[in-house]
Amino acid sequence: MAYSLDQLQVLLVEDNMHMRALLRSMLQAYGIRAIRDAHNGQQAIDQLLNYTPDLVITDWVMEPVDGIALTRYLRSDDASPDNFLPVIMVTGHTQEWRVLQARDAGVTEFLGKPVSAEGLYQRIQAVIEKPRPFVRTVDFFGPCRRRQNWAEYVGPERRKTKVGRNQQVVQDMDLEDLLQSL
Amino acid sequence: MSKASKVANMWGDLPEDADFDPVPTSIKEAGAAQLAEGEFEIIERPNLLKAKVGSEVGADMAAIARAESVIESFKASYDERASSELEDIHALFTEMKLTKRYDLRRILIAAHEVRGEAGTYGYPLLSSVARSLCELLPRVEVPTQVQTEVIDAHIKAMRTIVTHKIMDDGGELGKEVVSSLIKAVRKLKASA
Repeated sequence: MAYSLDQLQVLLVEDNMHMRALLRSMLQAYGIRAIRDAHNGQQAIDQLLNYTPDLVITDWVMEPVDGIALTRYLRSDDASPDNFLPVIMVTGHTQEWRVLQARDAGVTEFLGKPVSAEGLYQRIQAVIEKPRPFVRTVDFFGPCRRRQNWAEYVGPERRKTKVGRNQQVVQDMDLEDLLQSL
Repeated sequence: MSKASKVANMWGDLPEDADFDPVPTSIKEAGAAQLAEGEFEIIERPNLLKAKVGSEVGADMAAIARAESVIESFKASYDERASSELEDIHALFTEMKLTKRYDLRRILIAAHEVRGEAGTYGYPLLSSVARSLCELLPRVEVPTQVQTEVIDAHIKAMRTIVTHKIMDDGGELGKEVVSSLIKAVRKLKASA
């Protein structure tokens, strides 16, 4: 038996009204009821001042604030309601350098267009079932980007931490995985 | 060798039924330390989403099937909309050519939308042509004669695909058209 998504609150950020309507209807088909819309990153930021969703699904190219700037705001701005909020980016920009840019901005999962019912569901599922730890360095804060499975890595550069209470294997969002998933 | 690390794992040994409150929502609340170059910090949080959706694991295939039906229902209106959007692109570029005032970013944005939506609604060939156009446009400000012809060829191909409702890969002819357009764009990119 699968889990139920009906308690999730989702902020959907997309400037194309047709794509926004499609994604909203797909989320409803998954069972998600609490969905708020924003037409661009700035509208999303305005809404996030007094609203904290469980998940943000955002397009990349929007004006005046795009999905990358929105993600950076969520990850590092003092006014962000939750620096750890999962962000799924849904975009037609699937070139390698774009994927890397999204990853480095702190995007949690990446879905290239065309969208499919299974593809979007899998990204939501990944956010729920395989949450990656967050990593902070002097110039990065976001979901762990390391390639190897750090929970099992025992080499000299193993990070001094322990597996979380769920004892689950943490799969990092590496570039190969991302590109294969597009 | 090994880098210095700092760990902010506040919940590692909590029992399954532990109350997680207060759950930090900011780096500061999570106890972030000052980091120097080369240092890093790993921050783990309890899986609140998992708690919210229930303990079951696995995809809800019925939910995915419902979402597929949603996409199918949206497909019905896409033909007409795509046709209208492509006419707009055609009219826009025609006007630019006449006035010699080019703002190709407008066409790029429209083509980018076509690329994303066409694939979703079962027009892979249309999506491929739009993608090829999106590769070329960012590199052009005022198009040369050759670049103008290549842009026109893309627009014409996209309009033809929608007019004839070519919803598969277009067969050998379709593949050849896309291949020619991609080659033309690559050639122009290489010479730019």
